[in-house]
This record gives sequence, structure tokens and C-alpha cells, in this order.
Amino acid sequence: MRSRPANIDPQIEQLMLTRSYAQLTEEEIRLLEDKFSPAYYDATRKTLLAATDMFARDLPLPSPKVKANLLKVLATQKEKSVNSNWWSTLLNYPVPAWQPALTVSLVVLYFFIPWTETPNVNEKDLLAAQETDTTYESAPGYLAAAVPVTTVPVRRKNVGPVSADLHQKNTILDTLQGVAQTIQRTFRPAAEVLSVPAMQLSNSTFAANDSAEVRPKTMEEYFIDPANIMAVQDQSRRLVSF
Amino acid sequence: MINLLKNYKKYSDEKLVPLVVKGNERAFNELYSRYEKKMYRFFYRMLNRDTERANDLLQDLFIKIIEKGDRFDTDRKFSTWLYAVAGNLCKNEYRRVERLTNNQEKMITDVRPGPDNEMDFYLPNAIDRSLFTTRLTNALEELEDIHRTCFILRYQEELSIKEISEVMDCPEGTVKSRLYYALRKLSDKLQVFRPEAVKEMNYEKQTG
Repeated sequence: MRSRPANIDPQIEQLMLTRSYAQLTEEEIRLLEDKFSPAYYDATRKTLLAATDMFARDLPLPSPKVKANLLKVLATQKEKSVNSNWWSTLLNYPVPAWQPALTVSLVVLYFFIPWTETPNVNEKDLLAAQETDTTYESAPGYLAAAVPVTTVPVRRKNVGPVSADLHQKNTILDTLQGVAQTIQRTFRPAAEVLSVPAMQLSNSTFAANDSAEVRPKTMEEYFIDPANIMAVQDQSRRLVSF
Repeated sequence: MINLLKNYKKYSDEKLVPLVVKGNERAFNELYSRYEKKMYRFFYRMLNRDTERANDLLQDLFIKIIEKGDRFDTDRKFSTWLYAVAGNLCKNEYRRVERLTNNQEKMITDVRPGPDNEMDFYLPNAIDRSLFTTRLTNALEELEDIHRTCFILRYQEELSIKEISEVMDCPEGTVKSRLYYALRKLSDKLQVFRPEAVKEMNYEKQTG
């Protein structure tokens, strides 16, 4: 039984295109022996030659309209290309990967890390407050009176419950105002019943915490010493003139 | 100005494609001149000599190059890619219309083989030759799509076995096998022109 080829070998294909079975050499016939009979070889060769001949002769040409249409499409494509060119240049700009990565990381950190405000208090502010407290505490001259402990402080400024006021510094004007009020209280007639403050509160939280030093005075402590009054007067004059 | 002086004839297909995508008309003209006839004839043959549809598909093919040429992998051979795209367009066309079958039936009924079954292909008889060619054309159109594509790529477009395997995305052995069966079927259909071959082939069919 003759075995038939399952495929066309390019070498046999070449033989078919160039020579008939009668023109083949013995060696070439041996190559075909198991694959093609003489008649089958020639029939296939005939088909192959006819096909290639037909392909070579039948050469239709495309319509010129095709190219004209394509040129219109090309013009549109060019416009698109120009419009998107600067965008693509920007987006395709060769940037090392770490730069955009770092930028994104910083932006993320900025927005997502819960920043806490640190209190704006430094050592100078603390000292100033303490010194101010000391000044007020050392100022004598309170009148003897039946004063309730829960009196309202003379100076409200910077003593309110709003935390933002707690860190404000005393100004010279504040000090002068305090001194003037002290003088006013000092020379008020003793017979007059007053609801004056029994103490001068500080204008800072530090002083407020220092309540041991500014506790309300007892009646005995409100003894008026004329020497102290004179001293306060002198001090007040100096401050006012300053 | 420098751009105008460029000679695109020296450019490879793979270098021309990105320029065409950017809308370079001269690059397009060069690429089109290289492939217009080849691709038109491929479509013409694949679509049963329908010139109108062949023109349409040729246009579609180059529109794909212009608009989607950036998808082309420049490491690949452009012609292989182009034939693969063209083959897919043909498949889509087959699906869209059943023109192929209708045309085949029409063409077969139009052709009547001559009364002389002994005629020889090598005789310089123009009428016989024309008849044989017509019969061959019809037989070619009756082939299955994969066999016809393989046959046309090999003997009309003259691609190598390797290139056809890349276009059709199959092993080279499969291409050789398809070529063999295409030739065999064509020969079977043309056996009226060669009675001695008929007997031989019939014998092979029975024993095979």
C-alpha cells in the first residue's frame, strides 16, 4: 500500500514547480517514491502551476478612492496627534520613580497624620507670670472689710476661662491699671462697706495654681499699717510718673 | 525642512508604522505603496474576487494601521502582523455575510467543463487554458477558509512556511499539512482534466 504524505515538503514543492515527473533524476524519484505516484505527482504539479500562473496573471488593482479616503483619515489622525502631543510629552517625561513616589508620600503624610498644636508658652512667659504674681502679692494696702471669698477679681482681663487668654503676657498698661486700682482701694474710706476683692488674682494659670500664696486673708490680716500705706503711695507715684 | 528631505524608501516597515500613527503623510504613502496591491489581491482572492468588498477591506485594514498602529509590536515583522489582521478582517466578513457560499454556488453553476476530458494543460490552447483557470478559481473558492488562506498566502503572497505559521498562529507542520490538503482537494476537483490521475487518486483514496 502506498503511503500518502500528510504534508507538502518544501523540497518536493520546489520539484513540482520546476520539473515534471519525467524530468526527475533517480535520486529525486527516490525522494518521492513513498509519497507520490507519477500520475499523482503530475496532477498535483499541474494544479500548482495553474494556480501560480493564475495568481501571476490575475493582478487587479485597488481603487484610487481608497487612498483618497485614507488620506482624509490620516489628516484627522494628525490633528489628534498634535492636540495630544504636549499632553503625552508631559505624561511621558522621564522622571525617576522615586520622585513622584516621595511627593505622593509627603502629601499623604500631610493630610493623614493628626497634627497637634503645641502650647505657645516658653520659659520667659512663665517667669513673667510668676513675677507679676509676686508683684501683686507683695502689694499691701487692702482695706479691712467683710469680704466674701467668692468675690469677682478686679481685673478680668486674661483671667477668663478661655484657655487662649491664659498665655497672654501682661503689658505695662495692665500693670499700671492694677496699681491704680490698688491705690484707689487703699485710700477708700475704711467706714465704707465695700464689696472689694479680698485678693488680687493673677492673670495666669500658673498663678491660679499657686493658690497657696493668694489665699483669702483673714480679718486680722487686713490690719492697716500706716507705714505700709505710705510705702504704697510712694510706689504708686513712682509707677504713675513712669 | 529636515523632515521633508527624509527618504522613507530606506525605512523599514516597522519604522514607518509609528510615523503613520502620528499622521505623517509621506510615511503613509510609502507604506501604502508597499502593500496596497498585495493586500488588495489577498482580499480579492479571499473574498471570491469581489472587488468592491476587497476595496472596503483594504481601506479598513489601513485605517486600522493609522488609528491602532501603536498596538503593533515593533519587535514583530510588520508584514506578518498585517496579514494576520487582514485574515481576521476576512473572517469577520465571512461571518457578516454568507456571500461566500452563495457566490460559490453561483460560480459553479456558471462553469461547464469542456467535452474533451483529455485536454492537456500544456497545450497552447487559450480557451482550454482559460477554462482550466476558471475551474481552478472556483475550486479554490470552494476550499475551507483555513486551507484557502494557507494556499493563497503560500502561492499568491509567496510567504514562507514560517511566516504563514506566524500569520495563522499555528505550527509549521500544520501549515504544511494544510497546504497538502488544499492541493489535494484542488487536484480532486480538477481531475476531469487528467483522467490518468483520476484513477490513481481514486485508488489512493480507497486504499488510504
